[in-house]
Parts: sequence; C-alpha cells; structure tokens
Amino acid sequence: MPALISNYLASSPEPYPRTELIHYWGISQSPLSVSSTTVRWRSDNYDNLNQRITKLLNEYARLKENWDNEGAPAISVDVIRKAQNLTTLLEKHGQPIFHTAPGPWGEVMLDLRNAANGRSLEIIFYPDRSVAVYLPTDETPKQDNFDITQLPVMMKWLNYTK
Amino acid sequence: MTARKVVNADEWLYRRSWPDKKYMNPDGTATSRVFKLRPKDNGELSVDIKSLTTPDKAVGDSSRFYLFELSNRYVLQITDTKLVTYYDPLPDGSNNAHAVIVGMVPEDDIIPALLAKASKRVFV
Repeated sequence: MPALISNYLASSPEPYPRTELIHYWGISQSPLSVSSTTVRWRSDNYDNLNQRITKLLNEYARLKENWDNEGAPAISVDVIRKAQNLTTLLEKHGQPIFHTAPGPWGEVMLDLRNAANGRSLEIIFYPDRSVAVYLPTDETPKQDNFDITQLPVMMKWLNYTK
Repeated sequence: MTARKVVNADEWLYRRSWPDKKYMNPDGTATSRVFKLRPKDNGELSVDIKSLTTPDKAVGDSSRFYLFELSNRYVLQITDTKLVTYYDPLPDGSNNAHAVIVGMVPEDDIIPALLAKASKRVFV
C-alpha cells in the first residue's frame, strides 16, 4: 500500500520482492541426493488479486436490458471500462476489492473494505457521473464525486491505522 | 386521497435482493445496490412489513433471491436525512404487507450503503 499512497501511477509499481520456498517438480539431471528445494524471487505478488472482480465485471458487461426484471438498463461499455481500469490499477498496487455489483441505473459499484479498521469505500461508476462514498465506523459518512487524482488520499483514508 | 399510515418504529421490514445471488456480497450480506432506489420507484423504496407477511411470501422464489430484514427504528433514525416508512398495500390485493420508505433521493449513495450494512439476511 505505501506505493499506492505515494504514487498511484500504473506504470511504475514497485513490487515488494519476497523470497519464497518452492518445490521444483521438473525432471532434473542432478543426482537424486541433491535437494529439490530452491529459492526464487517472487515479483508477481498481486497477480490475480482481483481476478474474481474482473470476472464479474465481464459478466456485467453482458447483462441485457431489464436484467433485474425491474427495468434496469444494460451496463454501458464506458462504465465497464472505468471499473475495469480502476480494478487493474488497484491490483497493481496490492489493493483488494471486496466485491462489485451492478445497479438499477446502469451503474457498477466497487466495494473496498478494510477489516482492520472497519472502514469501507464504495466507488460507483454511473453512466453520467462517478462517486466515492466513505463509510467509516465512528464518523459521519461522506459522498464525493470520484476524482482519480484523489485516489492516493482515498487509499490512505481506507487503510488508515492509528 | 387519504393520508398514508406511518409504519411503527417497532416493526421490522423485509427487502428482497436482485434476481441473481451472485450480485450479493460473497459473504451473503446485502450490497448497497439492494437498497438503491430504481428509476421506476418514484423516490419510494419498496419493502414488506415483517409482521404482516412470512419470509416465504416476501422472498417469492428463494432459489433466485435473498431476503434481508431491517429494523424500521434504524430507518427512522438514520443519519440526518429524515426517512419515513408508510404502509402501502398494493391496490390489486397481491401484497397487503407492502410498505415504502420515503425520503431517499436517487443521487444519494450513503443511505443505500447504510441500510445494507444494517440489514441482516433471513434464511428462507
């Protein structure tokens, strides 16, 4: 998260290299007495972090008019693209998305949560606007227009630790 | 036109989810979208009064929908926005437990989120 707070640019995430023990199951030319355990750098820590969200967004892109049996419009390509772009950006910086849901105005909601401090943040892309809803546990909730340049501030708020 | 009757704060309310369970939170709780006004709602969020119905009736098809319950007292006390729940039985007689929460606006996304967080799933 520090990378996202200080610099949210998608082009320059600095993954935090971790060492990880893995078991190598490939055919080896080495004698069997040689250990099959090796150490490698793992630089893809965040890959697939929000894979479930991406999959759901792809499903929402295929929803037809009246998908809720109550007259909801289909979700526009533009709305899906905005949600996908933010999902990708957050994944690159290690920020998980709890869930995503379509809504009755053709919107898509991304729900980000921090179990440690109880805060949650909903970012909602409507066909004609985008909003951010701050839901703390001990303060008054707040709604703002979503501004991508404020994303580091939003993530700092969400991941605040005392 | 007769004045509508206000639903007592002690009542509990049922709200049904979308017709696809995968749109719910992965832990089975309601998303804020469940409590979002629809364009056709004319500013009145449909609910059922728990004491006038059963979970089976309120959910309709439990294979497709989840059912959530919510305290009307919480609805009346939520944030600074003044919400009121009115008894609103459907004129065709198909749902005598029907009520509406009035006072929400489509532009607001705080109240739907708060209602979702305050709701509890009813297992049917």
